Amino acid sequence: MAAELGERSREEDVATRVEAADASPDQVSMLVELMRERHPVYRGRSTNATIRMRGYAMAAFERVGLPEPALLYALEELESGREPYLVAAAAKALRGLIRRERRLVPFLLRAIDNVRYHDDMVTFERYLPTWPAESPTTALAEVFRTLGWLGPNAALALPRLTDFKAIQLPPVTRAALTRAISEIQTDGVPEESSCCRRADPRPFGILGRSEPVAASGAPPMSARFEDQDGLRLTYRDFFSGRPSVVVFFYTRCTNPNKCSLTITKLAELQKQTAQLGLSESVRTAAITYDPDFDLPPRLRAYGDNRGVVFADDHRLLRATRGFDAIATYFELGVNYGPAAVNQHRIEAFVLDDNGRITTSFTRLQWDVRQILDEAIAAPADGRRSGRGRSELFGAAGTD
Amino acid sequence: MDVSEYRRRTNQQVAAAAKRTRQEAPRNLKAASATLERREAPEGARIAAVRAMGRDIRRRPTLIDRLIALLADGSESAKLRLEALDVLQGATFLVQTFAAKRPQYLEALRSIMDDPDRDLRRRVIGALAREKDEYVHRRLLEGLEKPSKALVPPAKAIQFLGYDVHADYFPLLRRIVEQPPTASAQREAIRVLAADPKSRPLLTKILGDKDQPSGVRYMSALALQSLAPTQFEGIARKIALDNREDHRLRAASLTALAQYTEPQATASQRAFTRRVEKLGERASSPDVKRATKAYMARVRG
Amino acid sequence: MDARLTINGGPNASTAYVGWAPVPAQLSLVDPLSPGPVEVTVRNQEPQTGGRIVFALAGSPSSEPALPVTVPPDGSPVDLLIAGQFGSPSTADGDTAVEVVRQATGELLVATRLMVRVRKDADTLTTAERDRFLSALAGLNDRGMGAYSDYPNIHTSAGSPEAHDNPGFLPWHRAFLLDLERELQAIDPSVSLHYWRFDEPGPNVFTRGFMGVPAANGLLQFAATNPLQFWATASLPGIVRRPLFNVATEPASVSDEATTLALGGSGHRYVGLRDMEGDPHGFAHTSFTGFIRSIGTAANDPLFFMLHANADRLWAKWQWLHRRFDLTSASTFTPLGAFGSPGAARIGHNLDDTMWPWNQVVGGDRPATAPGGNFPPSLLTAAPGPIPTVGALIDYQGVRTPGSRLGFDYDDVPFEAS
Repeated sequence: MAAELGERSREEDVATRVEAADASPDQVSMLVELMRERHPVYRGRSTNATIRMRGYAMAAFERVGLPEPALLYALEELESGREPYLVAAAAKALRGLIRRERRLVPFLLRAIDNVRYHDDMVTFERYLPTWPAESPTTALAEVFRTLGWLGPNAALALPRLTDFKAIQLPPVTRAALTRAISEIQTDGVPEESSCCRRADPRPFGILGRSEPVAASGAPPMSARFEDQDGLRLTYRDFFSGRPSVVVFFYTRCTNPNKCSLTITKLAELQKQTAQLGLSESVRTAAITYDPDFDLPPRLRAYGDNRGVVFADDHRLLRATRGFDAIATYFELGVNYGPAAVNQHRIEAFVLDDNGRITTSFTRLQWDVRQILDEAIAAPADGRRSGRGRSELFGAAGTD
Repeated sequence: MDVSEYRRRTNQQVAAAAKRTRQEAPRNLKAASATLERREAPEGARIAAVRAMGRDIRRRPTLIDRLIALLADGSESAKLRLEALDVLQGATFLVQTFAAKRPQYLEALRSIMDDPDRDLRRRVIGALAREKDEYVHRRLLEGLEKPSKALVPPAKAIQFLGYDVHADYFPLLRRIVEQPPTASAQREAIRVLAADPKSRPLLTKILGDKDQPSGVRYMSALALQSLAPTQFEGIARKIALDNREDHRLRAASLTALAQYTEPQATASQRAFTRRVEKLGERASSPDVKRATKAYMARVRG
Repeated sequence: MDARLTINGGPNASTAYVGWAPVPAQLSLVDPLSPGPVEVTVRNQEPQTGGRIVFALAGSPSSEPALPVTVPPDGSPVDLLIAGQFGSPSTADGDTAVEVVRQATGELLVATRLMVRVRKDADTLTTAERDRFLSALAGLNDRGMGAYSDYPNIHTSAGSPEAHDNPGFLPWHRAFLLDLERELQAIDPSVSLHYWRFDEPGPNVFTRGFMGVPAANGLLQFAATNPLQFWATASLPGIVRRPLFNVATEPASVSDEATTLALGGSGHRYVGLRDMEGDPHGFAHTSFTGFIRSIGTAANDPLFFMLHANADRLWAKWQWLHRRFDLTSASTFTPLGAFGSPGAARIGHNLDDTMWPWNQVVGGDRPATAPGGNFPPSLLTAAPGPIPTVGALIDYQGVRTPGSRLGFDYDDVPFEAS
């Protein structure tokens, strides 16, 4: 049996394992494991290397079949990814599904928006290719191919695809587009039952808050933070006494669909919380993945630029001690190169007034209103305030 | 100034320019395309033709295809291909128009990374590096590790790699700082280490080591200043007042303190400011004198 | 007897800035002790130094360096217009003053310090002007930790269809520049966003004391007292920029000013002028190697803003030359109307569309996030408002609608009433 893939594995060896993978359960589970950001194989690598490795493994699902536990990773990439190689890989991965479901279509349409202005030639023919490469493709071409593969189930995408006919495209993308349109228009019965004519705008609802974080162990109460103004406090200081919403981010993130959007949504969450008169009932915080670099002025500028209104109960934080305990408790989906984060998922949590996770929202984009509702419903600590959910509303009403 | 006379004069200039534009053959797209296709035409005329095509890209995106082909054509002169590269790179600012051609453009750039012409190679690599291209990263790293495979000098390679700090080259850069292939590579390595919080001790050590060359210490100061500003301020105060220190470093320290600290905010800062004031009277270096003067001007608001 | 002069609606120094476009001022008597109206002269300070000012009674077409005014005795104000005299800007904060002198006695009733503050050709700045500009830029950047990070975050591939390759290219960048200028002025109100004339040599711009001189590897070197040496973006200190032309003797590889101004054709139409997005704008970017050459890194170089200020100046000059301030004319801007109407361009590029990121609209046809928030306000004018439309950036001097004045001017583009 081959050695475990780990921190010391060579990239080429990982690629060889991916190439050799077949549809057997242990091989497929090896590939699924490679989807996790925290996999040790990504430790110490560059972002480019994680894109190569993860993308190469993801694309292999087209060949070996995409199991349900891996579907979420592909959808996440289509919804929020901006790297042409990973988006192409995710589109390929969907073609490893058994059922051609129309609920995939919104994710593919989102992917088109994400990459259309900065697409690139990519190739999955071999790992670490040299250029010019044989039979390169593009992210858009792979998304179009997957829409074509969905056939009549992708009818929802036809207007968008038709718009693209008028636009100049690279030959490989153009060919995929033309074929996709004809495959979708093919007379045939959609494989799905006729009960659901429209695509659910929040498909995979159950996955929307997916990858439930086990929250085993105790919250990292003694972790220490510094906030955007350089004020020092502990996890216990901030996260106990009231329920809170906490999100993770870092200022050097280059994907606007991830950290920039997360903080923008946090600001929106604060606004809605204030509109409900709950600003003092629900705390909000964003904790950086990159505490040694994200010094207070960087946190402040990043928050200010995205509409965050700072207050005692609303802060951006960097851990000055105990970040590992935080990462463990929240099972953070993040990994690091030598100097910076190399990849991460989207993650937000609702905590009760004891700093314990009550709900987690990971990978797919979270909805501001949904997370706010969860925070309002978060169990209160009887010993401390004795306030339950209704009292929270009551308190808000008298503010 | 007489505004109506100014208007008359400006109108005249514009009218003359409009006439000139109409008469200039290279601005006529058809003529320009024909000139480009005539390989025997003078190089200057063909370069002007490429530029003229560049002006029309938004209206005729298919011109991009011709220019990409020219860029990739190793049988054409490097000067002409450089012109095509500049025009295409300018067209990347036309995001929507260029989107359709971007994959082929990047593919072409990757395919000519090894071009024998030094300027073309560098500009191609620079364009890809700013896109954080994974292939150019691999090639640049390979060149740093095996000099026989280097596409550009080590300092330039490090600079290009620095466009992407989500990288794994930091241990390599620390080695380069310790055993630099060139002085310039050492300075660039230090600059890029500013992205790495773990390099703070190394940067601090270099800045405090008077045996290091002045340029190397200066670069460490810049790196620390952005990585660990508070720590830097303490060191900068010591350097500023030490008259055995390098002049340039002292002046830079004073300039940084003037720009980024409140000289009168605390008792210790006021004490420091009093010492700077005295320094101005004694300093022999013109740079230190100027920096002292600027510092004191800041104090006086 | 005392008089009170309020400029731009404010009684204090923070509003005492004018360009070429006239701004409202009010003159009234305080504690007049006079049975009848008082005859005064509103004039430049004597002896005359610094920027020069001209005055007019509200509604009057002609303005003068000294204006006789009759002020009512009951303390009610007289409405005036004050503007800088074209060609005579200030070089320092409050380097000039408005004096109100009683004609009968020669008594000085009030003197209000003022700055005629305009964007200037960067090659012509005094050392002090240059240094204030650099210090404000370096302050905003704050070694890579300050609010400047906002600007490169906005000017990325994700946001770029909002700003480029469409009719709104010029108005969007005008807003982007003004946003930065207002942030600089919050640090030092005497600073303007000066421009680099890319069609002329810039021997005083590309120096160690100003925008830097490249070392052999393209990394800029600065004078010991130049705070730009601490500039940092994208985690790293320093700026990489090497000109591909001789900065001391040659312009960048771009069309000259007159050729650019002729792009509107004989009908002087915006649809033609818009070609300047390629030449000179795009060609100016690619006249260098380094940051400024790619869209994702261009705004990491502060020269970006000086380059764009010049592109904006060319538009402003064309607007003045051909009186293109009428928002109902397709020659001023095309397309008129809003997104969704017939003939409309991409959203954000039609006259009545609001502009990202200031409108904070995200998702759908707009980018996923909108860093930077609403448009920053100014003490000098309410325009363009927190959520500017494309149209709000066009009549920047208030030629047609005084309320649309944006509070900036260029040294070589005069104000002329329509």
